[in-house]
Amino acid sequence: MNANDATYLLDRYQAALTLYARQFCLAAEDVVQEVFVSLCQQSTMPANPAGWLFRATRNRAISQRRAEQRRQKHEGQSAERREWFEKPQEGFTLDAQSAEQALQQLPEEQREVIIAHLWGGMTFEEIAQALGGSAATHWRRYTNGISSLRQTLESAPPISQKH
Amino acid sequence: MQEFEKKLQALVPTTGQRDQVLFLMGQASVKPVNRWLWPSVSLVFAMIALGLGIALYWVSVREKEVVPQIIYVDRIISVPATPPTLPPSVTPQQPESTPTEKYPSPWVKRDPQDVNPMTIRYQQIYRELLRFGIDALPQAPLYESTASPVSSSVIRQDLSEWLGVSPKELGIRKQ
Repeated sequence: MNANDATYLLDRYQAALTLYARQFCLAAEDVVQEVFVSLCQQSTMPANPAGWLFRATRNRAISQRRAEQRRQKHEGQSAERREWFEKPQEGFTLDAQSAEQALQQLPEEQREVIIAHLWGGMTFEEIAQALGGSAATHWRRYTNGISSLRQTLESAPPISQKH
Repeated sequence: MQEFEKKLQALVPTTGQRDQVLFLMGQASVKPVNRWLWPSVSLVFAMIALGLGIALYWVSVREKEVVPQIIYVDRIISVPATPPTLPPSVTPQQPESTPTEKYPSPWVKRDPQDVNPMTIRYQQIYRELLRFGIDALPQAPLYESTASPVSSSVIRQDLSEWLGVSPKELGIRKQ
C-alpha cells in the first residue's frame, strides 16, 4: 500500500470508523488507529478495503469493550467519555447531542448499519460482506433505524436548548 | 427521508489525531528484513551462555567431591623373551673338529638324511658297549696273514678314541 492510498483511506474512513467503534467501546480512537496500522502490515491489500476496515474495527472494538468492562469491574473506573459528533455550526437543524443520544437508543444492529451507510459511505452489499447477513436484511434494519431516529429527533426538543 | 438522512449525514464525527495515525501507519508499512534474525541470534547465544554456565558449575561441584586416592594394581605382564645378543667379539667360536664330531653322540638329533647304515650300526655297538661292557664288542675282522697282528694297546687306544671315553671306563685292563 502506498502513501496515497493510506492517506485516502484515512481521510475517507477515519471519522466514520471512529464513530462506528464508539458505539462499542470508549477508546474508539485507539481502536481505529490499531486497525489502520494493521492494514499497513498486511502483505496484500484487501480487495474491499472499506469492508475490511469496518470488519476489523468491529472485531477490535468488541474486544476493547470486553476489556473495558473487565477493567471497570476490577478498578471501578472508566475511561473518559468523548462526544460522538463535533459541535455543529450555527443554523444547523439537528442537535449533535440529541443525535448521539438517539443513536445510542437504537438497537446495535440498526445503529451499525446506519453508521456504515451514512458516514462510511458503504453500500448495503458491502455492509453485508463486512458484517455478514444479506443486503436486504441490512437495508431493512437501516430504514427501521432511520425512522426511529427521525421520530425521536423531530419530536423531542434539542438537548442543548434544555440547558 | 432523504432530507433527514442528509441532515444526519452532515453531523461530523469526532476523530483522533490524523497525523499520529499516519505516522504509525508509515512506521508499520516498513517491513524489516529478517525480523527474527537478531532476536534468534541473541537467543541462541543466550542459550549457549546458559549451558556453559551450568557446565562450569557442575565441573566445580564435582571437583569438590573428588578425593584423591592411590590405588595399586598388580598385573602380570608376559613379555616374549629375546635371546641375549652378545657382541660379535664375545661369540665363542666352535672348534673346527672335535672327537665327538668325528664320532657323533647317538643322542644328538641329526638330520635323517645324514644318517647312513654305518652310523646306525655304530650307535648300536655304542649302546651295547655301555650296557654290557667290552664283551659286547663284535669279533674283530681277521687280518690278513701278511699283516702284522694288532696289539691290544692299539685296539684299546682306537676304541677309546672312537667312543670318546677313557680306557678305564671301558673296563679294559692293561695286560
